[in-house]
Formats: sequence, structure tokens, C-alpha cells
Amino acid sequence: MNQLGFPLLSLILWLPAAGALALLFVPRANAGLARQVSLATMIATFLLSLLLPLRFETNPMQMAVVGAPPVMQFVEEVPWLPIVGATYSLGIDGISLWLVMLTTFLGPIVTLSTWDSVHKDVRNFQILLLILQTAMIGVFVAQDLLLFYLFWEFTLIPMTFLIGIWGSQNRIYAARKFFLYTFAGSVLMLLALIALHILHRDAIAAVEPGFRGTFSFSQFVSDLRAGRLTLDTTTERLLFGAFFLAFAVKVPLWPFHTWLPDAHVEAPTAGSVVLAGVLLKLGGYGMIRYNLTLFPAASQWAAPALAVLAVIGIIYGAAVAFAQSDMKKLVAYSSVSHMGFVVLGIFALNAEGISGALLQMVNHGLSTSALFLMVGVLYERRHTRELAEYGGLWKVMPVFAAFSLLVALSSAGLPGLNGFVGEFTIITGAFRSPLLGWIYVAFAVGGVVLAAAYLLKLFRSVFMGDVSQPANATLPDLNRRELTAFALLSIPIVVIGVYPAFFFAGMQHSVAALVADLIAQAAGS
Amino acid sequence: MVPTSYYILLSAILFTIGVLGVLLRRNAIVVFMSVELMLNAANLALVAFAREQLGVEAQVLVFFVITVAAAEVAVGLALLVAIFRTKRTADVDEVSTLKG
Amino acid sequence: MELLIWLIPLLPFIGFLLNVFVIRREREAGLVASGVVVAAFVVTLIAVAMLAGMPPEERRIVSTAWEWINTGSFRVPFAIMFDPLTAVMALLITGVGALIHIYSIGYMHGDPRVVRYFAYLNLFVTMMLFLVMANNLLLLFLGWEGVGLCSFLLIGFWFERKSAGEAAVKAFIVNRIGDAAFILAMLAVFTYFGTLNFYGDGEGGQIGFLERVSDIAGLRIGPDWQPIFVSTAISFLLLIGATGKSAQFPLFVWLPDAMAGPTPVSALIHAATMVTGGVYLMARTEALFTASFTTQGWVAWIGAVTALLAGTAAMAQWDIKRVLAYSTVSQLGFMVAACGMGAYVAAIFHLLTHGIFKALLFLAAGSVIHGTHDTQDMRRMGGLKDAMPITFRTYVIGALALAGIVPLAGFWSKDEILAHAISHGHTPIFIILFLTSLLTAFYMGRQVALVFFGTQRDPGYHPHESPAIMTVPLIVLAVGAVIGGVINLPVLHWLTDWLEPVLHEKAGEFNIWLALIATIGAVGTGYLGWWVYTTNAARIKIGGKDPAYRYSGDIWEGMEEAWYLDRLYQRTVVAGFEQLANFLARVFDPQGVDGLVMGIGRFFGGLANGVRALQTGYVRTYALVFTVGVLLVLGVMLWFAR
Repeated sequence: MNQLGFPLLSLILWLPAAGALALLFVPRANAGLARQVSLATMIATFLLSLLLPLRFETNPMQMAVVGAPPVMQFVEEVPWLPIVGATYSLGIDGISLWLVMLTTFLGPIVTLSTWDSVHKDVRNFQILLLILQTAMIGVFVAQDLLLFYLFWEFTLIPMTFLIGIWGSQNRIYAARKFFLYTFAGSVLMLLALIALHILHRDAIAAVEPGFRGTFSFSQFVSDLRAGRLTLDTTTERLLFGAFFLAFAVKVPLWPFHTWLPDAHVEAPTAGSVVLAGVLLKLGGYGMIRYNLTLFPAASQWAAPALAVLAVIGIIYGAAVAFAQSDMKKLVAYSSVSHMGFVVLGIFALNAEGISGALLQMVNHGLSTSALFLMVGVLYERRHTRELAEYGGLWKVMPVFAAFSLLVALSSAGLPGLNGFVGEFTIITGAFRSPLLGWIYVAFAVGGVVLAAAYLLKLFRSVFMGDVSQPANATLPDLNRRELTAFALLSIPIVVIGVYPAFFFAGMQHSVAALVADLIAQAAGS
Repeated sequence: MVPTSYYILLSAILFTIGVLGVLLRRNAIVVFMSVELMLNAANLALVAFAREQLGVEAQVLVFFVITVAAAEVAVGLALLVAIFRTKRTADVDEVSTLKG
Repeated sequence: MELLIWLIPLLPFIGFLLNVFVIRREREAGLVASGVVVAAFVVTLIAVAMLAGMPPEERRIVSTAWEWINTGSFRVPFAIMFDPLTAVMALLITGVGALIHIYSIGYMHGDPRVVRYFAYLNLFVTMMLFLVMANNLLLLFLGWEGVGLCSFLLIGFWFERKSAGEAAVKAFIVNRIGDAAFILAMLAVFTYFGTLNFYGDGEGGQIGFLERVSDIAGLRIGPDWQPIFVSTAISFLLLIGATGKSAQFPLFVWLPDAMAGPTPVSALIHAATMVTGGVYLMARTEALFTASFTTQGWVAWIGAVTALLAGTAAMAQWDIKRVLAYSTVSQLGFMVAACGMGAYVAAIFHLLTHGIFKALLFLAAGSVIHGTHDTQDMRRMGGLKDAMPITFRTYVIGALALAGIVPLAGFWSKDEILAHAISHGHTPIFIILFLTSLLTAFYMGRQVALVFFGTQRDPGYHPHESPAIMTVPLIVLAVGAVIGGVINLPVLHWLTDWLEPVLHEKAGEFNIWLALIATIGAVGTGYLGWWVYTTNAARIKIGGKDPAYRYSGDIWEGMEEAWYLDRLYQRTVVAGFEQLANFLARVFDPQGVDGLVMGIGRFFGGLANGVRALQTGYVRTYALVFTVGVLLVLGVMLWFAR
């Protein structure tokens, strides 16, 4: 099944962790070497991951059968804890492909951004970043629920330290809130996971005595579809809810979003970039992979209500973002708005909505990361995030202004750049979904107008007008590292906007199979 | 032959004295002695029952109690010495660092 | 041929890339930018010639570059096309665009960011060409938003000025409101037709939605108590989109502010091309609009109301560019009203002639501003006709064309709209438009008098004529403004025939009486405007009131403020949203949503604090509790053992 003959996914997964291990042997004082090792590891991981889209079969030979588990590629499977049936099993399909790519792509950019922003205990910072990278990739590639849960929780720990140690004034509060809030959600998921395991074990053991149970995702799916494991409506909805809550906190869906602005404001730039760029996507990915696949009937049942929350989030996040005077808070709330689009697309439950949501997650990862980098560039120069402190920087930093404009427009959904394609596909999905409809879209489109309002407010306050503060008059323009980071981010921003068909092609097979399955389950129930 | 109830009564009295000693005295040594008293009151009751029942189970239990009591004294006195060294007191009310 | 039409938008795009990445010197930037647009104009001419060589019914070339979006059933190609309607638009864009590029070389000379200026201008031309050449709504939308972006960049070109930044953001956001409706319209079109393509690609593929509007005839949506036709819903949404871009009531408020940009930009974007995007959109999707009687009524009335409102506002302005801005809004109202009455050819005709003479007027106004050292207030001008003879003459030609004086270009196109209104029984619309055309003549007479006649009221500057690089484009455009009407003279009706395959219209009757009355009226009111402001020239003071203010009082003030519409929006919509956003951000989010979260945390924190008091740390307390517990348990056991 593994088309390469060597464990590519394991390599990609553990390379950053190996880099972290290697960093332990770097003297603490040698910050430069630590950065270089970290950057080299990140770049190597990205280059290695380039093999994934190159060797990915967009139309796998094994055609998706309705009722069969998703077709995975680059599969690896090793027994792990046989006593509970947990295996070390990895694999990706069209749903996780671009998210893995996003993670590995952002890695080097994040490391680059630490050059100028992190000066305290550099080695440990890089170690945490690398561990975090492994954990995030792990969430996307794990095909065993216990393994998935392990990586899922493991993303929390490095992130908490990144905020709690390298953050700004109120960092302890933010780190604790981040940890407790997301952990509270995840604990429910653990409960549901164990419940699913036991229900499945008992159901199968009744037929095959001696069955020890499993955590294998594909086994759950195939047994659910084959009717060997049936969940009654209430159980299914409860399990759905427990999984969903964990993901909703992570996304974050309104009204579970309040940890996000605190975490972003306090986190160092690199932390914000990882948080907005990848961590939020874990939630959206989880919804598609686990909620929709494991509990199709409950997804149908809950979709309209959840879409309402998503639409509220779109408008609410945009309105609150507009009223902020702190740049990081503005961008943080814009994430609430944009991720609302993602959830709306997911619960449109059709191919347009889900593939739009997947693309939009990538888009948001790129644009919002770039926005946080932009704030970081300003913060390093002036040590303030207040909008009122800036103005007229277009004159002082023209290159930086040009990139910022591009990024802001991409985030505002200008056609020809990436954000538009994702948003438009999502609202097409929502519009055509029998569960949702035009009224959802009418409000969501209002979010598009507001997005322009707050992003242009940000751009105008920082770059237009006269240079009012003397301190701003002599700010240096982007240095070579910052320029590299922005230039790298600009490439996919433009490419996805002009030629998204390439990215859709990678995911369409998996999404089509998922949607066909959803329709079949809806008809069956 | 002395009726079993007398032994039980004596055991109960000794046990109550032990409880009151633990609750009322502040010197850790005395508290220890009171605990010993309680254990031995229990031993007395066990032995009395054993004689009446003509069995050995209760007597075996007594040996266990004696062993546990010896161990307890060893650990307890060691703790006491450690506390006395740091706090210069054997008063249990002075040692309340585990206050929540 | 397919390659040729791709060249048209690609040439300015190459110019844009060159200006962004390669060129650093002012001289090269201007030459390259103008060169590529001139080249695009030449290519367009060749393409038009080739198109004319084809049989009328086959005059459409569609070319697909790649599949743009492809997911589920949602497929959109990146495809452009070239047909008679696109051809005339492309000619206007590249032709007038080229002249304005050349003019800009002189106008922007010495500006520190001139390379960037030309980059924006090239990007604008690219996007505008995509707008008119797109073969599907989504690509049209790409151009639509692209020109909006360039408009934002160019209005805010002198971003150091606070007003420029504000105007730029305002323009973008007001346009976005229209765009939101546009997006909904696209979704509706896709839902009911399954495609966003205007026309099929001619290779046996899917045919476009404009070719099968009859599919939705009689189809209704909405609640049972108020069903509406699908065609009405779609066309109405498109209309809202058009009101944003084409600055129609109630969304016209951004255009007057947009004059903060450099004047050639106002000429190109905010007069000749971008703002006509809405009219082009309605003409392109004419099949959808004519399918809905209801929407057509709305279109006609919105156009007429806008024409009158903006016409009155133009009368009372002091800023030379704001007069022209309101005049543009008013003339766009004419075009929209024409669309609403089904006179699409007349609308396009007026779009073309207006594109020429309004560009002329703006460029001439730019020449005035240039020659008076950045003076825009007409109260500071006066008597400039001797110092700037070429500007003066071209300006008067433009003004006469705009006022609709025979035989200049504006006369023929405006007359065609009015004649259509009469012959198709739209009497109220006709009355409004006729009145507006009289107002047009009046304010142009007023403006000419204020700027060029009398004596110079502000002696603080020495007016001078602009260099040849600026006056030559003026002369070329003036010639266009004189003879532009030829393309659709009543007897020749070339334009009607040319557009027949797209718009399916036959030439209308020429109404000689109407023409006569309209001309006499325009000459009369135009003269009146000129006469009032030359005889009362002594009363005009810098910073003072208009002479007409004495007679009309507060009404004049209302006109000057464009009937307070902008202020109304500021006080209701904008202020309301800001208050809501502030409430959500400062009160509801931290105290409501987050308050709930922190409340849960605090509840458990408080609970833990309560329980904590039980842990006194006194061993004897623990022992007592322990004893009492044992006794209780024993008691309970005894109680149940009874």
C-alpha cells in the first residue's frame, strides 16, 4: 500500500523531534547555532514533505466504495499497545495532504521569524518549536485514535510554554487560560474516545469472543458502516458532541473563542504564527475527519445549528476586530471570523463546502500567519501594538507596505488571491446545501464586507496618513530574513488565487468519497 | 473464669483513654503512647475473643498488630526526631505547615 | 486570434510587472506604461477589424486559458471573450486610457512616487480589460474587484493626506457592499443555471447562462406569502452590485470623495471607465434584466433619481473636480435609466461619448489645477481664459458636449436616451431626465464662467498653460468630443448595428421636435448659468456663499451637501456599526462571553477556596474529624443493624 517502500511519513513526523534532540547537545549560550540547527531541520522537513504531493495519487487505484473507510496513502502500521488494540498507524489522504504541507511550509518561516524576536533562552525556544512541529504533523497523519489523541494533547504543552515563558506582560494568565480551556475540551473527547472503544469492543466481542478492542480509525468506520457496531441516536449525538466540543474550542468557534485573543496578544510572534497558522486547523481537520466520518447522522442533525454559530462567529468576529486598537487583537478576532467560514463550509456537508473549508484553512494559515508576522515586524521596531502609535509607514517602509497590502487583501478575500477562492467556494457550498441555504449566505457575505472594513482600517492606520510619530520616521525597511519570509508566503497566496484547481485536484477524491458516504448514511438513517 | 465481657470492658476503657489522649494531648510522644494504648486495647479484645472462640485467627491478627505497631513506632519516632530537629518542639499544634 | 485577444489585457499587465519589479526611473516608467497601453489599443483595433470581417452572428471569440476553480460540481474556467460589446468597451478603455497615460507623464512629472503611479495605472487597465472581456461572472468579478483595488490605491495615492486615505477606504467599502450583492447574484445564477459562463466556448461544451435565460422563466422563490421571480431576484442583486460600482443612488457617496486622487485618475477611473462597469454589467446581462419587469422599473427609477440628485448637487459645488464628479454620477444615472428602459444601445452610446468628453473635462480641469499651482476651489479662479487658451477651448468643447449642444457627441447620445423614453411611454422618467439635462447645461455654464471668465479672484499665483504633453491629449479628446456622435448618428446607426448580435436592438426613431426643444433648452440654461455667474462675478468671495444662495437659501446648502445623504450614512450606518462593534468588543465579549468562561473558572476557584479552609494543618483536628467520622459510621451501622 505504501507507494514508496520506505516510511516517509514517519521520517517527516520524527525529523523535527530528532532536531529537538540534537539541540540538547548544543550549548545553551550558543543561540546562533541553535537557530541554524532548528532552521535546517525545518527546511529538511519541508523538503522531505514535498515528496508527498509529488507522489500523491490524486485518483488512487483503489476506488472509494461507499461504506468503506477513507483511502489512505503512504500508510505505515506497527502494533503499539496490543492489550487495547492501539497501533502506530500513519497515513494521509486528500483531506490531510495540504494541511501537512501547510505545517511543514510554515515551519521554516516561523523559525526565520524568531531570529529578530526571541533573545531569551533561544535553544529551549527552538526545542519547543520543533517538538510542536512533530506534534502537529502527528495530529494530521495519525490513523489511530489513541495516537491521534496523544499528539493532539501534546501540541498543548510546547505551546503553553511558548506563551508562558516567552510571552509579554500577562503571559502566565494567557498560558493558563489557553491550557485549561483547550484541555477541558479535549478531556471530553478522551471520554468519548474511550466510550467508543468500549462500545465497539463489546459489540464485536459478542460475535468474536476474545476480541480485545481497537483504536484503529478505519476499523471503527468499516464496522460502523457494516452494521457490526451500531450506535443509538442519543449515544451517537453525545459522542458527536464530545468530539465536537474539543474541536470547536480549538477552531475556535463562537462562543468558545475567548482564549484566542488572550493567547495571541501574549504569545511571541512565532507562537502566534504557529497558533493561527496550524493549531487552529487541528480543530477544523478534526471536525471533517472524525465528526463527519464517525457520526454522519448526528452531523446532519446538528449541521444547521452549528452553521448558525459559525455565521454568528463570522459577523461577531469581524465587528469585534473592527473595534480593536491593538493590532494583534484585531488579527486574532479576524481569525474567529475566518474560521467561522471554515465551520460553515464543513457543515454545508457537500463537496463544495468541505473542499472550500479545507482550502480556506490553508489560506487562513498563510494569510493570518503573514498578518502576525507583519505585526511582529512592527513590534520589534517600535515595541507597541497600538494602532494609534503608527501612521504613514508607507513612506518609511515601502517594501513592507507592499507585502502588508498583499496580505491584507488576501485576507479580505480579493479575487485573484487565495482568500477569495476559499470563501467563495464555501459560500457556494452553503448556498447549495439543502441543510443551510441563502439566509446563512446572506449573513456570511456581510462578513466579507466587514473583513474589508477592518483590514483596511488596519492598513490605513499603519501605512497611510502622515508620519505622526517621530520615532516612526527612521524605521528600517524589511531586512533580508523578513523579506524572505514574506516573499515565501506571497508565493502560495498568489498561486492559490490564480490556480486553485491544482489544490482542489489533490483533495477532490477524498472529499467526494466523504460526501458520498454522508449522503448514503443520511439516506440510510 | 473471668467472663469475656470484663476483658471487653477493660479494652473499651483503654481504647477510650487512648482516643482521648490522641485528641487532647499536644506532646507528640504522648500522642504516640496513646496510639500504642489504642492498638493494645484492640489486642486485648482480640485475645479475649480468641479465648472464647478457642480459635487462632484472632491471635494471629494480634501478632500482625504488634508488628505494625513496631514499624509504626520506628517510622513515627524517626519523623518526630526530624521534626524536633527542624522545629525545636514536640508540640503537634506547632506543626501545621500543611495548612491548605 | 485567441492569442491576439489575450494580448490585450496581458500587455498592460506586463507593463505593471515591469513597473513594479524592474523600472526605477520616472522617464522610463511613463514611456513603458504609455507604450503598453498604446500597444494594447493597436491590438484591440486589429482584433476589432478581424471581428468585423466575420459574419455578424458569429462575432464572438471565446478563449479558455485554464480551469480556474474545479471542485464538486462547481467549475469556473479562466476564460475571456471578444464580441462587439466587449470590443467597443476595450477600445474606449485602451484608447482613452492611452491618452490619459500620456497626459500623466506631464501631470505627474516630479512626483517622488511616479513609478508606482504608472504601475497602478497599468494594473487598472489590465483589470478593467478583464472586467469587460471576462466570459463568466467570476472572472468579471475578478476585474470588478481588481479595478476597485486600483481605485483604492490611486485615490489613496497621496496617502499622506488624511482625506485621501479616508476617501480610499470609503470607496472600497461602499463598493464592497455592492459586491456582496454581486456575490449573492453569482450564487443564484450558479444554482439555477449550473454555470457562471456568459456564453458557451463554441466547442460543443456547456452553453452559457445568457443563452438560456428562458430556463428560469416563471420560476419563483421565497416564502409563499411573497414569492418573487428568480429572474427578479438575480437581476436585482446585480443591480445592487452595479449601484456600488457605478455610483448610483443610494451608494453614490464614495465618488465625490474619490476626487482626492490625482486628476488623471479621476478622468480614467472615476469618469471614463471603472464607474461605467455597472452599466456594462447590466448591458452584458441584459437578457436577465429584460426577463424581469420589476427590476427594470427599479433600474430606470434609480437611474433617474440619481441623475436628478447628482445634477442638483453638481450645481452648488465650489471644487472644480467635485462639480465634474457629481456630473459623472448624474450622467451615469442617464445610462442606468436608459438600461432600465431597455435602451441598452443608447446606454452604451452615452457611455462611450461620455467616456470621451468627461475624460476631456477632467483632464482639462487637471490642466487648470496644474496651471494654477494646485488650486481646486473655483472661487480662487476666474479669468483663466487668456492665460490658458488651449485648456479653455478644449474645456468649452467638453462642456458643450456634456450639455448636449448640437452637433457635439453628447447631444446624440443623450437625445437617443430621451427619445427612447418618450417613444416607449416612460413619461415620468423622461421628465426627470429632461430636467436634469437642463441642469447639466446650467452647471457647466456656471463652471465655465467661474473658471475662465471674469477676473482672477486669488492673485496669489500666476496661471500658465500646461506643456504640450498634456495639451495634445486634450486636443485629441476634444476632436473626439466633437465628432464622437458619428458612430451612432440617427441615419447611420453604426453602433446599433454593430451591437445588434449582443443586444438585439433595432435603431429607434429620431425625434426632431425633441431634439429641437432639448437643444434650445440646453443652450438657454447653459447661457443662463454663464450669464448669472459672469454678471455676479463681483459677489463671489473666497470662502463666501454662492450668489444663488440669496434666493434659494437652505435648499442651496442641501444641494451643496448632496441632500445630506453622506451625512445620514455617517450618523446612522457608520456610527451605528461603530457603536455596536465597540459594545461587542468592550462590553459583551470581555464581560459576556469571556465573563461566562471566567465565571466557570471562578466558581470552581471559589469552591476550592471554601474546601481549603477545612485543611487546618492541625493533626489533632484531623484526628477529631476522623474519630467523629468513625463514630458516625458505627452509629449508622448500629442503626441499620437493629
